[in-house]
Amino acid sequence: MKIYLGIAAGLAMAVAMPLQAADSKREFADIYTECGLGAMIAPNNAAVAAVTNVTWDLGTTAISSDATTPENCKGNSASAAALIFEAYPSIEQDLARGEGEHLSALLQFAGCQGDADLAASLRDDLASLAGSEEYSDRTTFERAEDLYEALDARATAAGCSMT
Amino acid sequence: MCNVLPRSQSADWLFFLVLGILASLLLVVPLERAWCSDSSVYEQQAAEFLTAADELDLAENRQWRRLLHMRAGATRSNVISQDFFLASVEDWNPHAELYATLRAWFEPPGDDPDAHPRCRFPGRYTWLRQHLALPAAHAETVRCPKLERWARLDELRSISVIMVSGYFGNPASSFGHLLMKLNHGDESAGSRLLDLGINYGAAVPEGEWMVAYILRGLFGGYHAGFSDRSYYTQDQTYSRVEFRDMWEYELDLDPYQEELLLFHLWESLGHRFSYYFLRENCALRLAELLEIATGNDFGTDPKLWYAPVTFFHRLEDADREANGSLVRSVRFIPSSQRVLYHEFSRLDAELSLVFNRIIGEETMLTEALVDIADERHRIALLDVLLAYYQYRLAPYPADDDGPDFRALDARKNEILVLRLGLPPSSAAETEEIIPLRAPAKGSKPSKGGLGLARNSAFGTYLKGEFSSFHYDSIGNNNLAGSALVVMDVSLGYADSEGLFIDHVDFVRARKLNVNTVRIEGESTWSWDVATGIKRDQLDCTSCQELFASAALGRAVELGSNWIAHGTLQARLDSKGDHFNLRPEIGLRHSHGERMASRFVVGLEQGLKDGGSQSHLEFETRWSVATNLEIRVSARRQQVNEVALGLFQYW
Repeated sequence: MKIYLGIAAGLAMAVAMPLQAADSKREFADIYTECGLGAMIAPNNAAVAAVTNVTWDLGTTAISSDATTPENCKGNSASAAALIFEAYPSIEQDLARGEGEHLSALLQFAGCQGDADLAASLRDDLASLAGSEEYSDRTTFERAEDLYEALDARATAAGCSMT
Repeated sequence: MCNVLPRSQSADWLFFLVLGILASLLLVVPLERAWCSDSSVYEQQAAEFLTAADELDLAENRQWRRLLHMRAGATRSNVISQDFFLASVEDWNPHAELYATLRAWFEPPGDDPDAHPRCRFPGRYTWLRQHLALPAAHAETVRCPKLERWARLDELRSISVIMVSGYFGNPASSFGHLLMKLNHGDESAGSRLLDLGINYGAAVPEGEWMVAYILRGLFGGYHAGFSDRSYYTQDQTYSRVEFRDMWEYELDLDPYQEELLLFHLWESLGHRFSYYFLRENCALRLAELLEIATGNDFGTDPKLWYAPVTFFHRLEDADREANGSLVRSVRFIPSSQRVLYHEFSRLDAELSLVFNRIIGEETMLTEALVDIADERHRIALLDVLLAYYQYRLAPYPADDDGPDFRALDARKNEILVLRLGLPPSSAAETEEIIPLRAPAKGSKPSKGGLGLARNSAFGTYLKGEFSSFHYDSIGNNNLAGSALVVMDVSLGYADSEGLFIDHVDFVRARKLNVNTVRIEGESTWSWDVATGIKRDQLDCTSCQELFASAALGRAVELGSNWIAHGTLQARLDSKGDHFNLRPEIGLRHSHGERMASRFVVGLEQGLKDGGSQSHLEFETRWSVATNLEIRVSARRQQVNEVALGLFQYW
């Protein structure tokens, strides 16, 4: 029995490793499409929020838990993408100040909790993005995508695990 | 596309997958054989446990009925989804469901480990195992990987319930809202946002007409259910879009209570429930979860209605009875609007002036900053400006493309770039906001009482009053002069007049806006709306008329205890002149939580006949205890009337 269990555990690890590698390569647009970010009720949609009083997502996919989330939307990268997209104004504000609970949450997803250097680097990245002429013409989706890619690159360079 | 791998990696992946499946089969087959050979034994054991359950009358146990979401005396569950039940639909009852649940314990595992009833209904089994010694043999053959990943019991730090303050933007939210939060991370602010928030609400079609929404909400036209999402999504909606304050009650549950609550929540997620706005709402459903976990009675079998604040009063009561061992802490979470106001109030007079000139576009941003020599001041100003523009942008949809949104967004981006060019803030510069008293720290919502009144026209009479929801402008609540009153009935009885209606307020809502923060463009309007039945004149007892009124005005704080206000009210009456204008001024004074008074003087002008008459009102409240108070009032409208009453809240 122990031999069976050992073989199974070893194989499970071997199978899981390529999957994780694949996850880190996922792009924001893929996460957005496959994890239903676009289908979620936008918290900024006052009309919907006023009527429903809830964030209703039964029967839809949503990044939050194993109860409602597809298997390939559970990693930190998908969670970070969701946080950036859904709370973009708060993250923008926290990065501007260099601190804040949304920034702390993002660093947790990046696998670099409390890393002041990573926060400072990401702040520089936002300065570059926001300083470009086209920033005001970019949609929330596009801004979130740019910031997500910047985070992914910084987290990888810092040796953090966002998968 | 996602998960597209290089060919060589794909081949490796397939190879290991095939090997993994083969190995898994080798692992499972012996266990399956063992299971089959023992199945007759378990069938026999199941019968023994059915008998034991009957002896304990578990099918009629209040907790079992709660687990099935059955109200007291009901024969059906409030859950609509058929897959919430194991017994057949035709002859369903709690007894049949208990039998089916117990039999299912002994079912062998299938191909999908998460599909076994033990994984689908772990809350029921956790509770049943408290009463019956269900055999744990071969428990390892039924693993529930999804449940384990979701519940993360070993990482669970605590469970919180959150009171969301009332929101006048939506009738269903006027009485507040209730959330639950599963606290898995540490106590840092960032971790708090990543905790799992539990919400319960109705599935309302997008674009629903407001009247249809109210009617369908009241009379059961919607289905409802639990949803679980990262707490930051709820923080975003309630705090940053609707600007509602919240109070988080962190509970002190033991491991069994936490497990039972989480497991029952798991078995309830994704199922559809019947929904009635007044009674079967978010507050009741989340209160039921805590009743199941703790065994406390949170009053979830209400006759007419159940408000979020009702639950929190019950929780406060239960905590007192348990000598403070149920609630670990209460934390105030200010809305983003309150945070903005707080930060603005910390700017000095000169910076406040520059702030208002910038948002009023009287000066160029860059020019204004040049004049501020101290970098710390520039940082402080830009921080508040950025918070202000995010606050202004919050009500717009994220993908809005209108000119107003684009103009605000461009302005915000300009500020963002300037702020990012300066050093980060220092943590030492932040300052905590003084917590607002939690709603459940005041009186309970329902009010009743008796009093004596003396009317100069028809003498002394007895008064009886009842209100189903009574948070008025001088009540022991945290509304600071605002009010929300529903079905406030006042009856009188005089020997000479018999029984009569003094007044019935169907709804009375008031917002007394004493915003002392002078941000350019922020609303400083106060308002008041009411509808009901009243006496046309004070000197009569059979002159009742229907009315509807709306008022608009201003309020100002005079020191810490005084508020002065002036309003112009328009009122439609079913009798007399039909349409009246009532300008009035008033004063409100509070003396701690014990005492509050109001004084109003005004003039009523009929628009049809041009007649006018003055009115004067005074009322004071003295709380003997949190839920017991004495009120004295005086009114003058051609005749005089004074009253004294004793009132109890529950």
